[in-house]
Amino acid sequence: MDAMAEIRATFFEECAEQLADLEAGLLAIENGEADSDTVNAVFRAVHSIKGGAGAFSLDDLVHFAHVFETTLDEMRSGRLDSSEKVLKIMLRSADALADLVTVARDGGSADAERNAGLIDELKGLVALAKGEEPPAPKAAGASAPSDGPVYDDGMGDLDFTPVAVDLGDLMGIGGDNRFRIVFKPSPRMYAKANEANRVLRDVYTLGEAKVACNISEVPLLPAIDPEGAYLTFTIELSTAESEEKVREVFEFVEFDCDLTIEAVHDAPDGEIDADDPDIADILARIRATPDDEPLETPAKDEEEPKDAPEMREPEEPKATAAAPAARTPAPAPAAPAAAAKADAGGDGKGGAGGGAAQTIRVDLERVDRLIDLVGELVIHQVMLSQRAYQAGLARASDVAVGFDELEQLTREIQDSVMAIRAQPVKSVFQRLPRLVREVADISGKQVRLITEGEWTEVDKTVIERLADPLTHMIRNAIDHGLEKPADRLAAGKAEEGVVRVAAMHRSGRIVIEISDDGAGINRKRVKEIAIKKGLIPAEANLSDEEIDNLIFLPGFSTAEKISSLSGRGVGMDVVKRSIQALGGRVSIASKPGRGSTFTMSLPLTLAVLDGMIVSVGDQTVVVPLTAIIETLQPKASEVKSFGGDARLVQVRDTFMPLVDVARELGYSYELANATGGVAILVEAENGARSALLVDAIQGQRQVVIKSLEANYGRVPGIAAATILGDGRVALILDVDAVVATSRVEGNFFNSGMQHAAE
Amino acid sequence: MPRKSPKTTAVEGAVYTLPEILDLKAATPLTEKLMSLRGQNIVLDASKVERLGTQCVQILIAAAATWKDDMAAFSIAEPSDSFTSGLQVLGLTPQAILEKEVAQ
Repeated sequence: MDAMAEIRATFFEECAEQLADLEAGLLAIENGEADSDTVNAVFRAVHSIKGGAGAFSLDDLVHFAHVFETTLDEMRSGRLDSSEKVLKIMLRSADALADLVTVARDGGSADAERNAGLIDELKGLVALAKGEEPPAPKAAGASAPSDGPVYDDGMGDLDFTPVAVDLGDLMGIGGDNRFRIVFKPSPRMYAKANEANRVLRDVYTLGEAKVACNISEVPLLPAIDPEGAYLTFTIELSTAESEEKVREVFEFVEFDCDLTIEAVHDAPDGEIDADDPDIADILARIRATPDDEPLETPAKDEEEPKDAPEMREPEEPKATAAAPAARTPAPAPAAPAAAAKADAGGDGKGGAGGGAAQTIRVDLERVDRLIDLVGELVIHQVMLSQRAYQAGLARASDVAVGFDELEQLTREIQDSVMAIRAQPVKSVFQRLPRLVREVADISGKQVRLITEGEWTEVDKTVIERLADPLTHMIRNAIDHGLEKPADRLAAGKAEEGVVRVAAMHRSGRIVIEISDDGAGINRKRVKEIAIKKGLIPAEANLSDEEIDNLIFLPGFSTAEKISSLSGRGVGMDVVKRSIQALGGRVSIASKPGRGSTFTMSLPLTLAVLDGMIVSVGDQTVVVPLTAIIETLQPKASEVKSFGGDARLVQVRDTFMPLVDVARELGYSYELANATGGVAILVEAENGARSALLVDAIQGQRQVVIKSLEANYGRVPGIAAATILGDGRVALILDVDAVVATSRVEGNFFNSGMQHAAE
Repeated sequence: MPRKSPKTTAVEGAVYTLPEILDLKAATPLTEKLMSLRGQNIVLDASKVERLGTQCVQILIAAAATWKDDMAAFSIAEPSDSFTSGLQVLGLTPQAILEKEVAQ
């Protein structure tokens, strides 16, 4: 049972990947970036899901995937144009397929009505591609009662013509690999509780397989060994997979059976010219069909098996009749042939890629444990060398050199381990198109999503926790940011709104920008609402930036009525808080009439940090190196006081605020003497520079981040904590927060925000 | 094959209802059971079959051939969906089991 559950889990994991490929492929086609390989990839994705689902008897999923696959096949063969309308249906089908996979995995029920509608639409497309009158009631009538795959329709109640056309379609998909597999289990195999039918089921999932069973070795009953093995299976397999993949199926039984797998290059039987592999392929597929299909429409009574041979018989003439018909289109359009070649090429590439870049699936927990251990290793390595020096170890000694090497090694190990966890943000970005489609549908707006930098890598934890805030912000961008199509036209903009999501690395952090080309933040209204809700006093005089930031206040909502999308006032403050919890920040830039840009900035990893160790009062504090530009010792002449406690420091020809860190963190209430300490020039996310005044610099070191929230609680101005070489805990400074609090200290609005964040 | 209803127990025949699970463990009991029924016309009621393993298929094939050798009637009635699809996976049909000649 466990093994089965595991296989099932793997299947769903693979499904997720296939669904991602499917969606990515369809979007590429929509954007006109597709080549024939893309269409094939899309087709293969659906096909694989169907195959796997079949093995687990997930009938709904199989059925839907089958219809979807048939339609994609039309597209693959170039008979169905990838027009906008077609792609819309395809994309919605991809969503439906994803839902079905989810239902199959987690239980629940799918939207049967929608799926049925989509199936009809897909079938309509197939009919259209075949040049039949589009979704004729006849076709609908034929498909409605039979729940089986569409091939049945052609066989059951229609004349043979559609089947012949089917063959023409199949022409385009040649280039598949074909194998003849002779599989003779030995008694040992059964003794090990391996079932031949399970192996065969796995073979079916690879592609179209026809199994012939040789029963001639079965003895009479008195002579039989009940647990013996007498059957030999000959499988004609036509698959997109490589021989290696096919062999994998037999991996577990390899030594307990006689097995030959050979690639077949000519037609299985000599009844048709063997020169054309496409035709042979078609034959293989046709033969496979009756074997495959009845699985879903099993015999109801004894009559059925009687029918089966009859049904088979017309199969052969059909094939022969179809072959000449199929031949005619073959040389004419070059496209399907090219597609077939590309398919083969793609497979080759896939195979080669599989050889070059092999991957394994590892339980995330194991990686995390490794990372934790390496973190401890780093701490101990630092401790060890510090102790050694304290004990009087000479810097030039061999042991010291050894320590240096050890340090480099530990660092390399740490980098490598972190790289295991780094993943492109693509996995999150992939979910966005669907989200945008759904939100656009609900809100009645037309939206185009542009994503950039999806290969930007970031730690897996960050990615996982990025999804929710990102989803929320995109919803917001569409629901609040973009105007209704009519308003857009009135404003002289294109009817279709654009939402752009871009990820990039910037100074050791990942920055994600979500921008829309909507109306921008209506500052007047935002302020009015904030006053009405008592969030700010009526006479408050706020800068534009401050008004924009009001939308991050808890309980703020600009939406006049609550929609299913947003407007319940639990929006941006939650976004802001979850980003802050990740050690990130979010900011807004908005231009009236031109749109808004939300910028999220997050650390690349939550595990290590290069920092400068400084003394502040009696405490040791770590300043992230990424924020630091330079350090200097201010001279008395360079420090200017103004407006009470505020101070500026002159650096070359510019002035910047001097932030007394000890005071900000509450280590001292006295203003520190500027000339007695060191000023660290830092740059905040928004590019503003300030100087942090600290007492002294101890050194520069990589520190392992230990979450303060998890172990203690959130402290404003502090990003996290670490353990130093001597075993003491040091706090890691949240530079932006410290700078921001100091600048607008006493501002009711900011202290309110601070309060909210706590 | 002429259809024989399992309900009408012919004078000269017997109806044996195949167990639900015909897996590896069921192989030996099935062989013994069939051996005990040998010599009379038989109808195997396959309507209850939920799981069909390869070895039991072998036994059924062997039985069919044996009955044929004995010149007695042997048929499978009301194959369940699982029974038919179980055979399908192996590239067989209920028909194929009954009709193939067995070369000793």
